[in-house]
Amino acid sequence: MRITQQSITAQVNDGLQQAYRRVAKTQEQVTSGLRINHFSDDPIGATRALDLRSVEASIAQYQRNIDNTTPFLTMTDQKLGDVIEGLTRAKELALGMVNDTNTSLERQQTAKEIHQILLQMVSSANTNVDNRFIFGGFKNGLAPFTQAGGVVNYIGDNGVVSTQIDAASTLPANIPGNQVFQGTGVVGGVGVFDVMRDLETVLNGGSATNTLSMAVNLDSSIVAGAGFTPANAVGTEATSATFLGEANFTAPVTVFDSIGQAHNLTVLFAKTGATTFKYRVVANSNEITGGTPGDLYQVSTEGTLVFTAGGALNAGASTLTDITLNNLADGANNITITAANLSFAGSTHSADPSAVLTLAQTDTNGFNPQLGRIDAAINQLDTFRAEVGARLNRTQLSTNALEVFKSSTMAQRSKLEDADVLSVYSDFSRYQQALQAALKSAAEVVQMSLLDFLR
Amino acid sequence: MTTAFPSFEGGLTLGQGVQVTGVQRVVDRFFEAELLSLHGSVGFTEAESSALAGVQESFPISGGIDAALSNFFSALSDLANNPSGLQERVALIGKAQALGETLRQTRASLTAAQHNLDNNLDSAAHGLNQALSQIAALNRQIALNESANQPANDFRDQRQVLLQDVTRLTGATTREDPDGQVTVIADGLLLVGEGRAATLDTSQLAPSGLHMVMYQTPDGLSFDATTLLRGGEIGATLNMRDTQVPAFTTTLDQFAKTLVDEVNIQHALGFDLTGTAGGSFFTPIAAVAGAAAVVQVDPTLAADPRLIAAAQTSTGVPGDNRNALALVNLQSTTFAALGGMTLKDHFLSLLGNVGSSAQTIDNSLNFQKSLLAQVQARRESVSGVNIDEEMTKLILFQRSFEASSRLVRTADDMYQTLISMVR
Repeated sequence: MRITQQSITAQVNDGLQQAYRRVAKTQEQVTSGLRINHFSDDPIGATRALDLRSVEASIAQYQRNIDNTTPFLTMTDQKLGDVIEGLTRAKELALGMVNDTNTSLERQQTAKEIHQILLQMVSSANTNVDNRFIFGGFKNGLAPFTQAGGVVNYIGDNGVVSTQIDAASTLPANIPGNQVFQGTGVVGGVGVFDVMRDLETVLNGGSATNTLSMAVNLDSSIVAGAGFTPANAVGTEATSATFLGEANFTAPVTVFDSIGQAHNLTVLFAKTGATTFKYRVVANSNEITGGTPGDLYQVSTEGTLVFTAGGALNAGASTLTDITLNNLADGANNITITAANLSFAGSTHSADPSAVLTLAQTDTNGFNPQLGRIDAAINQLDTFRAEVGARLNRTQLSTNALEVFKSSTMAQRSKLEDADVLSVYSDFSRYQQALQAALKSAAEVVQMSLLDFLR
Repeated sequence: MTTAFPSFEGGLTLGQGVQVTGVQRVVDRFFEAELLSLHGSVGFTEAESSALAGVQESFPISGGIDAALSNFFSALSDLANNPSGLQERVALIGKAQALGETLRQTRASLTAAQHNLDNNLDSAAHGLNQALSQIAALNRQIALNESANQPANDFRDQRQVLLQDVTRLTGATTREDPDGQVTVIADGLLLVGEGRAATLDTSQLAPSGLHMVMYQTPDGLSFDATTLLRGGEIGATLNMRDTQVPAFTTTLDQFAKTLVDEVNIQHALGFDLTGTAGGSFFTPIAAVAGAAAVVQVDPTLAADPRLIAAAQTSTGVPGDNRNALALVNLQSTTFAALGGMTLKDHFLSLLGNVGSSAQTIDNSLNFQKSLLAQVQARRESVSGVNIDEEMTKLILFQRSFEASSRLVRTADDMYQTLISMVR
């Protein structure tokens, strides 16, 4: 093959271009410190690195979420501790007043102190962090507990604000105040402020009031419609000085609609006070199926009684007779759900759970029962405090896990993205030397010609 | 050069040297043809490579749409942490506006890349037309010269250079007729036939606002060849302008439309700080086409941050963060409109596509260039001139001339001696 000046020039140019390109490439890597400077350098690595970068961003976000939640939980824990302390103090004071030797003046002074503790507790329950009330549920813009003359009402809601602490899990950041301080939705729940108020009343020589609220509800297969409104669930039970807290429900009850379909009858109870309520359902024998007459439905805690659907004794009945919840103790304060209210047109029926009626009874037993309720209240708060502690613990664990995850992600990304400084530097000097050698040899080869020697 | 007819003197045969019969081009037809077709594919690949480099510039390696997207979702998370906070709401609107801005910029830069290609097409067609008419003129000249037995080497050299230009632009194939004229055909379109050249006219605009390529025969017949031209620089430019770049743009538009739709749907399910149901978060977009160019935060919402619907129920205001959390969850939701991918993955796959297209083209450009260099070197070894080689030949010829003149001098000397003997 003949080598011509043209081909030497082309080859020299080509080689120099290549050498320059390699030097420029490594130079870019040295200055940016990155292995990938354009997507085309390594498309898979580049998109993977971007993916990892967004993973890092979410890790940082989870960390921020945790940092945001922690003060709430810490404050909740602290305030629960304060209230527990108040209850413990109240119990000490009450125990000091147990003896009949205490004068009524001493008791009234203690009552004043109890009142102060109650106010302190309400202010704890109205704590806010960063302008958000920690016990308000979603309604955290306003103080959730209002207090007037020792009567405390909750104006917050049941909302639980949750926050994302990693890709797969969320952490509830608050506990609604009605659960903590009123026992709503808690099995055996105690109204903390109620206990304090009753204690105060009893120490002042008054009588504590027990209330039982009841909602009669038909099962969920009954769809909303006409026929059953709160106004329909009229009870005749009322405040009674002779209440002894002893009543029986009889056997399970089945409610039939006009086309003979059986429905469960559910009675929901919420109660305050220490007394155990006992009721029984007395109904037209046609509507009572199964069970043993005389079975006792005892309402010692808040809860639900379900009278399950039984046989079809009254199938096809177009009208129901009255169902009576019979207070056997006094034989007078019975709750009657009239047949009119339980008979339905067609198969569309209302199932209004707010059909509530409230019974109130005065407990004249003095403050001894209140001591037990204070213990129950402390237990209740302890349970919530343990829950908050567990959540705080979880934030710590998550933080640790996120740290580990973050450093491994960063290491992975660095491996993909960052230039290996040592090898890039050695490449750089190698290519630089190659370029110098190419330039030098090119200069000599291009100059050389036979003409130089023909003189 | 041919050896001259010898003369016979006294029974001796005397050489008469050589005679110049003509100057011929030293070319290897195989290499020439190979070189032309390589010019076509290098032209194609080079045009695609530079176009993809332009597209790649629309997507910075960091701080692009992916960063704006994750900032947006971070701001949503912050809002979930404090749904009643006004700073969080203002910050979220800021991040959403930045995301819209980044999308619009990227979209604009892709459109700019497309228009750039369109301009390239214009100048390429202009250059092609000139080359074609010159080839046609040279065709006529060569046929004229060679039919009169006149060598047309210079014309052929000129034509060869022009043919390289034409193949680089169109990937055309050439065929030489017996009378020395070449026929140039690209993608089934006759560009040069004997002494007549066709032209490409790019003066007309298609409804899309881009230039149409009209093919005009020498006889004035004209039709749209925009979709017919596939080879060389012009084919690559058309392919990038009409297929590849629009594909990237459509993917980006699909991404933008899905983002806006899904955020708006979820946002409308929530309730704002005033307790009313959420309105549009982004200004709704009707069609996929052009979606990324019009992403913006709804002006009413941007003016009043309280209208961001973070709550799931009107009664949960202000502490309810469930709708904000649901909006954050869109980050990890897969959408059928995005081929079953999440927003982020969909965008990353677009980036991966751009990157690997550019990488593939760069690799094949490198390969084709080295192939071209090889063939050029081989062609050079046939047709090229090594000065030293010619110089040694020159010395050789000089020496033989010196030798011949020495012979003449010897003869002269002998004559001198002879003459002086007579005197």
